[in-house]
Amino acid sequence: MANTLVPSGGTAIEITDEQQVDDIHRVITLNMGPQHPSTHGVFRVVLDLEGEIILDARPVMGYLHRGVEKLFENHRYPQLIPWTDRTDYAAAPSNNLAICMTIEQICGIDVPERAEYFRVILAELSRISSHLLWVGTHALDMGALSMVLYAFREREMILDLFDSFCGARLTTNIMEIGGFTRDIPDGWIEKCREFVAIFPSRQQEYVDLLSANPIWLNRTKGIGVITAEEAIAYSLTGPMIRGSGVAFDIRKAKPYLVYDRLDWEVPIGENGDTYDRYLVRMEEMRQSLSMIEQCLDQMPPEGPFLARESNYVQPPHLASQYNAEDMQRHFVWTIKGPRPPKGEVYCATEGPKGEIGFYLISDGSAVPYRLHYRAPSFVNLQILPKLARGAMLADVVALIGTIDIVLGDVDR
Amino acid sequence: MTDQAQAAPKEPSIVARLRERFPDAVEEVTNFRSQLAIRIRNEDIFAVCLYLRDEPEWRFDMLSDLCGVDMVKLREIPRFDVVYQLYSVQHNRRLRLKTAVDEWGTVASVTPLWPGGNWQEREAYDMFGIAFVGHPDMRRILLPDDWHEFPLRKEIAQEGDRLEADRWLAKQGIPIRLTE
Repeated sequence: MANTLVPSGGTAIEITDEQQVDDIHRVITLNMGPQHPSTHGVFRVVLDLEGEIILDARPVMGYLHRGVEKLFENHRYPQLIPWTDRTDYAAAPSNNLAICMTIEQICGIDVPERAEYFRVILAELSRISSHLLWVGTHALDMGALSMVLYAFREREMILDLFDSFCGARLTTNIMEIGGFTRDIPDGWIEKCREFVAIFPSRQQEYVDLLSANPIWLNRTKGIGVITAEEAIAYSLTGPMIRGSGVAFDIRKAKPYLVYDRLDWEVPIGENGDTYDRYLVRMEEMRQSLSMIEQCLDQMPPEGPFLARESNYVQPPHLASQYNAEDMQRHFVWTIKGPRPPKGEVYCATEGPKGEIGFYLISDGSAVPYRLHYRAPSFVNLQILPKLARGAMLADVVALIGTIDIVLGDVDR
Repeated sequence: MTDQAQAAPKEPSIVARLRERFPDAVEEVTNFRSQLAIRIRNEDIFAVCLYLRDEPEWRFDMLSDLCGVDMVKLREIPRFDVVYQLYSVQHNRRLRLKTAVDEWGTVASVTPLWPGGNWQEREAYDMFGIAFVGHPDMRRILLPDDWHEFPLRKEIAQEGDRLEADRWLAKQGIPIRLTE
């Protein structure tokens, strides 16, 4: 019993004599973060250590809290979209899609088919870009310095695509309620096809670098194991739950946009460890690429890109630049903003990190009465203390990396 | 929304089963944009959640989302709502539960049922001051531990002085209390 330690609220951990510092055990409290390169932002974990073994981990967050839910309550509906860029800033188009779909759902707007296809393309591009950022920084955390350079090379191609469509790389504000106000620029589709053609060979380079690398395997296999039951109980979503073998993907469970017309599969892991989640995310990139290709083929070349003008959908931009009446109409619509009917919806979409949920209560005015943002990073991060207990100190960076957090999303 | 619920042709079977099992628990049923929301009496929320989680017919094994809502502009009392978005991985089904909480009142924590509710309940406490009884670690999460107010309450203005919010509250006859 002398060599057994029971941390608060955890399971007993066996320690051997070699790991004991003195005759009596010594627990070191170590602050990791907030300024630490491997916490992917300003995130702090207070660790109780016995030698190198973690007895308890207490995450401390909120350093990046900007109160977006309060801001949501003070902005008209079209003004909410740029705010969602700044939550999960690694995959802004996915968040834009989630908020636009929520507002469209409460207003009952149908989006034109062409815009739906283009939304899928943008959402999947942002998924690939988010996963590239993840694979680069995750490998960087574990000492594979070169990986991030390759991953950012391809991520730059995606950001260039966003840039040439909407004029911004990260804070995209890429969609509007009802579809898109800008049309696809000339040459965009060709550039996107070029990316689709190049990317598989580039992804093979990552696989060559990592998948059989003994250091990578030792650092990821068997680390941070989550069973399927735990994953469900901890409300994990996205690659976190799929890595544990649960085939839960909102794009399959309740298909939105045109996901039901595409041919794709949900990759799942077997062991629920860090390595399986790596495999799941790598395979998701391949599936996303195939979806983009199918969308490019199926998307009608011509057709409406924005829903019909109504109380909820803004007048076309182009006319307002040539015509005084149209400009007034546009001005009045922008100042007054849409007023959705009274009611409430919860709209869940599958973001790169998991379920992006918006719970919107409308009281019939131009601003939301309450808009709650269910951040996937925040909910997924809850399992960190459980994974860290009993792990080695060096594994903390692997565990934070495998959860794939963005602190803008955790703190909001 | 009550009108729409009454206009609905027939109640879904889950509501009938809940009424049968917990005769007084179901207070209101709404169905907007084909999303079902059931308002449960505050005292019964834990028992109802336990039933919905464990009954093989429903198996709501995941708590997708939990949040608080300040209802002060929509009704007299109670002040807050706690909203639960449940999801059943097995049956691919969603359900929304709501329960009302008084100002400075309490509600049973569902963290013992779904560990995933832990931080979400702490966030609801942090933003509104709703206390969850039975929660293992009821502290603030995003704001500093010594923060003096609950920012998502409607009387807290977004920026500047609080004059406008105070005037509005005075007109409603709501006392202004900023700290516990």
